[in-house]
Amino acid sequence: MHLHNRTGGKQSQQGFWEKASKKVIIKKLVIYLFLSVVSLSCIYPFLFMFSTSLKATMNIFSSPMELIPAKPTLENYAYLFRTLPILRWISNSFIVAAAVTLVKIVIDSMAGYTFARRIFFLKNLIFVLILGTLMIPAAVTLIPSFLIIKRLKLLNTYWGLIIPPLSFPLGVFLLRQYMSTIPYELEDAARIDGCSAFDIYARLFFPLSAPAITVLTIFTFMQQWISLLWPVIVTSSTEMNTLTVGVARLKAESSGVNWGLIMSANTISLLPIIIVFLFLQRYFIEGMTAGSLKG
Amino acid sequence: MRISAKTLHENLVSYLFLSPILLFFIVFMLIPLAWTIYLSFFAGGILQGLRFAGINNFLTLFRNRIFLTSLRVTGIYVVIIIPVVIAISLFLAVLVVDRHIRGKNVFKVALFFPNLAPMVVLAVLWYFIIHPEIGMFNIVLRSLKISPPNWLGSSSYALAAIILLELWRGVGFYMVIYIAALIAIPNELYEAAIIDGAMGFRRLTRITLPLIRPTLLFTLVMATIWNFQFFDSVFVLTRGGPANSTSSVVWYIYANAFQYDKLGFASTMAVVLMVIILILSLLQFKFLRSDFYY
Repeated sequence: MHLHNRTGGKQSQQGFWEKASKKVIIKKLVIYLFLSVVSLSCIYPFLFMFSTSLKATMNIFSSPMELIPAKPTLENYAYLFRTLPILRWISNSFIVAAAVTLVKIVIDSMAGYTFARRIFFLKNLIFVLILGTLMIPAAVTLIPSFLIIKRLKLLNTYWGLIIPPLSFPLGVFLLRQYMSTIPYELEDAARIDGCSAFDIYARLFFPLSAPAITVLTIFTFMQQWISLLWPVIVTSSTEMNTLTVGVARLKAESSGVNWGLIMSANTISLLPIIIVFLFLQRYFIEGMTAGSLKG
Repeated sequence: MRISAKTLHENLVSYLFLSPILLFFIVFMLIPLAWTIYLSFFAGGILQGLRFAGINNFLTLFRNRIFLTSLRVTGIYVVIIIPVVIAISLFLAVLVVDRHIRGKNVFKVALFFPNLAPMVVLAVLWYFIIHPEIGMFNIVLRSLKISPPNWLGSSSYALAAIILLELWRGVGFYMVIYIAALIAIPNELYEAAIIDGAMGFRRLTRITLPLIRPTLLFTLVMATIWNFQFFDSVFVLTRGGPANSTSSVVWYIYANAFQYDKLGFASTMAVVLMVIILILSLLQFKFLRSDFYY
């Protein structure tokens, strides 16, 4: 057996590699095909949404599968902008998400620095308390938050939309973890140079934590941008609706009737994020999955 | 015990730094938490007024048919979606990180894409796709000689439609997390395995899975907590129907608190939901912790 093999060694080895490479190529093709089919089925609905938004209602029903509209029209968009305050909804969502994000960055980084580097009374207890509430479902604080906002007469206002989400403490944890890795030497040097505690935070820890702050920015912004439950409860007038609430109510009111209108609203509401995503793709994916990565 | 002026000053500065987050945290997290527990012992709501009911809410809760249904609905949803979404996304991640595969980023972006849309937008789009007459998904099924059910109109298929929707969103989400974990595995390990003659499947079970185990368990915990609270898709697609077949716990809490004005009863459910989630995540963290070091 051994001897036999040795005589025809070179040839059989060549055959082996040929077979192997053929196998590799087939395997590769199958994988490409599979990934392409899966990717396409994830994306196709969005292409279809866009194409439907360019169809007249009649054509949506007569040729539902058509991807490239035979007679594209912008009348759905014209009708949308004429009848619904969708730009107002988008700017409401943007104002709320941006405000929450800005405030969170400041207060979470202050807290993150304090937990990472300062020694104070009850430090561990407070930190454990904050960490523990990460597990608490939003539905649990919902009713009292509503009652508090109602008593403060902030229902149906930007304040009412912005303030309660500020209590979500994931950012404190994220930034504490990151800031703990900043070398002590830098801090000592700054202190010798006569920097105050606030200087050390604002001019050292804050800028040095830029990567973690970027992650937190995108995470918080998207969290607010897609949020539905709290805005549904707080807003009551059409003008104060955020985008998610507006789109959900539009669907409830005109469902099955005006698909062109609904799909054009859907398209418009996706557009701003897609544009930002094109520029910040890498940060986006990292930021949006921040909640599920360990510190 | 003497406290030096310096320590006092240090404490003061620390609490100044913490004061903004503590303010929001106390007013909109700790107080609401205590308040919900307090409210869970009351009957009634804003309009009818609240009456102390002792543990009555808790007793009636577990005899309430719809609440038990919503626990079952939520349970079925979680038990189906989590293993399916994790298995599929892990499988896709393993395929995408393969060093022979080019255009990784195209696949990654395409699969992640649905996550850029709010669940509301996805749900509205999904509603269109599974529309009984013009829904593309149904037309495809019909062309494959499968007669599609009336998804959202049938109490046996509505939840399935909602699970498929979450699958569409979730696959890309978990996939990018697993890709990040897989890329972190040093290539030498695989090279060593190839020299040792370990073939594909063995490499997966002996190297890949053990090394990304912390990530797997962490996504498991997070996915459980999130999926236990599914609401947006129900709000847009079914509003709990038909016949409560998609009434998730959070949906039922919302409906009781803000539609039927039963704040007390809704609070009781919220407390029960919290206890369930805490027990589940503690259990999972117990497994997780012992796995952090290997």
